[in-house]
Amino acid sequence: MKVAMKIWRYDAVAGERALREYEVDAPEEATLLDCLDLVKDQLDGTLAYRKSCRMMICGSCGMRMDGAAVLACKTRMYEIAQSGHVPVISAMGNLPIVKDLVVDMEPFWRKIRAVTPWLEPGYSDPGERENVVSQAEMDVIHKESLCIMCGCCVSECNSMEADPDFLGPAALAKGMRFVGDARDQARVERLQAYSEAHGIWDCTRCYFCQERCPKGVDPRDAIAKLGAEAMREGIDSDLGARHAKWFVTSAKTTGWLRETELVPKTQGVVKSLKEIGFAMSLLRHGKVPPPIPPHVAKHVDEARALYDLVKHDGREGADGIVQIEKPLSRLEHGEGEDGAAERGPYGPGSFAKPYLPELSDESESSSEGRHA
Amino acid sequence: MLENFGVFRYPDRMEHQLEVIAGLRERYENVVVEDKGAVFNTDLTQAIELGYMLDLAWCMVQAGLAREESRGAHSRPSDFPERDDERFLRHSITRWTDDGPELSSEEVRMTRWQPEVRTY
Amino acid sequence: MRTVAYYKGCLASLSAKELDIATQALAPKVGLELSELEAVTCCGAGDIHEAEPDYYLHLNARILAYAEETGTDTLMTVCNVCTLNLRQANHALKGDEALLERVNRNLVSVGAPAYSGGVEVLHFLWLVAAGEGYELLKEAAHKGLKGLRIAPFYGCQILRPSKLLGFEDPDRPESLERIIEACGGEPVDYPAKIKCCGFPIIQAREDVALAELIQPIEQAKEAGADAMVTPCPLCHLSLDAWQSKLRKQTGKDFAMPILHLSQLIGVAAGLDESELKFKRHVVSVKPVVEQLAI
Repeated sequence: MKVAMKIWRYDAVAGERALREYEVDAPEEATLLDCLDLVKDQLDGTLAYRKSCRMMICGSCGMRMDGAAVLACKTRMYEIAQSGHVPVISAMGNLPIVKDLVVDMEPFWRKIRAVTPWLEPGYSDPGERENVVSQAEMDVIHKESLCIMCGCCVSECNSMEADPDFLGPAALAKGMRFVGDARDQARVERLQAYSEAHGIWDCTRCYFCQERCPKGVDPRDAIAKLGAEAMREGIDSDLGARHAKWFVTSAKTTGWLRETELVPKTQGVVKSLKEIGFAMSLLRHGKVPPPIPPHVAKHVDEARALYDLVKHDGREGADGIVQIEKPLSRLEHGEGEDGAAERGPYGPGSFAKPYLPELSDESESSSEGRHA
Repeated sequence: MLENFGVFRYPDRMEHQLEVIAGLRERYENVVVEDKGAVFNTDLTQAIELGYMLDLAWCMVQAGLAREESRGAHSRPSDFPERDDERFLRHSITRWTDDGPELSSEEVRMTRWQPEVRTY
Repeated sequence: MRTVAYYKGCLASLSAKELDIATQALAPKVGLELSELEAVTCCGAGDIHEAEPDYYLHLNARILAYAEETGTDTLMTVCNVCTLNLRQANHALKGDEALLERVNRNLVSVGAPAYSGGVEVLHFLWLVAAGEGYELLKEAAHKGLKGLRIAPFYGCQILRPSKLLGFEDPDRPESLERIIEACGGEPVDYPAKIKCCGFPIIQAREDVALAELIQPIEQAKEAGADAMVTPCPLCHLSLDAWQSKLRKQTGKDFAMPILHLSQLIGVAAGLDESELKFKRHVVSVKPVVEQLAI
């Protein structure tokens, strides 16, 4: 099949960008990576991109297709080619471009290192016995363990785009991988570190990372779990945590969010007073509902009573977080929960069934050697 | 290599592959590197690696032809389907010379584990 | 008429009251009978979920239970964040019998009804972007928007995570554009229409949020939009109420009116100011009002 692509080329030395169009003849089961290999081999040897395993496990080939980060080796081109759409291929976002589709991953690695990405077992001499941990304990962090460091999540992170110092989804998910590890003894220190500026509370909850991750790590869920664990440990002085706590207080008392008090409760009275001009502009348009009389929900006593019951049930912290996908739902390859098909950038069912040619029967040389 | 030197190896195909390799090595003398840049030049690195792969390919096929038995991932179903410990329970050693690979062999040092018939 | 349970959420109850008023006025025109839920609480946004995850689940289960009690199978929301939170809780409860049992035990013991999993949570946007709701919308939008150029701003949590929302392609959504066209307006395209307005961190990390917020407004302005529309009152609050902060920061006065979805359709359907409450907007909607002689 004919596959046409537009690729953003970048010459770092000259500092020039250019959009080039290429068309190759590829097999129907070809991925974006296969097509790039064909371009490089047949049309333009100067095209630069990273690749290695071509089976979605090394994380090398992260790049953007139509502005959304994907793994090139995971992206089938069949439906795209059939529809006549010409995708635009470019380097991943939020990282400096080295050449064409190659980005400088150093800022990415710097942030991974910043979360202490190794187990702190709490001892230096392991002794004679193994440190056995149960399957159930490891299942808890199964999703976070799936990360292949491809950078697709980081590429699309809206918060990082606005603040390049944000630790980001990959680093924080890696952090959760250790916070949730039953063997790790540095849990509290980690949570304190991740709760500082440019950490957990900088996540803007855009869910782009969750949408883009090719392995199902669900970084946003991981960040939510970190927030829950931090608050459980009483590490909650960040404005983001105080903001969250006020929602709980509101629900427990009036049922509805006590909006006006939210500002001083989050930012403190002093800062709120500095915002008086801004507050007045809102007040003029009725956007500052008076806290008195409070807007109380009907049967709010139920909401209050529920809070105590829930505390009694004790599903605290990360354990209570409702995840979009349960940790082990991806063990059957290619299926989401309830057998839902994988969604690619072009909607449900984007990944065509592999096209396998009929195996010919050659009796001359033994058929076993045919498709080694 | 995938066609003529996979897991299942046949003498005629291996011989043919030596010719293929020789032809490729000759063409390699004139390999073209389109990318003249100094930044992340994978065209250049791939061309360099190709040269080394052509050296290795020759070493591999030479050793495969010489090993007249089947052992593990080296299988010769048409002419030598069985293991031959007497002749070939030895390491294949290749040394690179200006004229190409020079094949020799070394004794296998067996200590704790003895060779057995492979069954699962 | 289709009867749906109506959950308006915190903002539509208070600071974004205009959204509730417009929605209630518009609903019968697009074939919706709203059964307003009273004994419900805040859905928790993402905040209660992080601070007290199990409490978040119970509060939302309670909302779903009360919705089910009204006898309908649909709970209609008018906020992206409520939609995501309720759908997420619904998904968890429907998929785990033991969990549902425990939650119901707690609900019942405080005097709330139990939930049997019989409700689907749908945003008002989805009800009118396709199917019968869309047909009725086209009929109702008789007054039209007279070619007004409207830039749609989706807001993250009506699109992502698509596994949970899944109404349309999260990278190429079309629902707002369809509605704008059906109402006689001209949809304006721009890259940041599916990006984040920054609302979740607008208090805790204002600078970061403003750096996000400026993108859709600036791009929409450059693309020639007369106004923007959004299905989420939190995005509306950022885009509208915080626009003045952008002006302070950048010196640029975008003067971009921001409409709630219900208001946009309401205008096309002939609602007047008493039902639209444009005066509650911080950024004046006067240019739109004048252009369309509302």
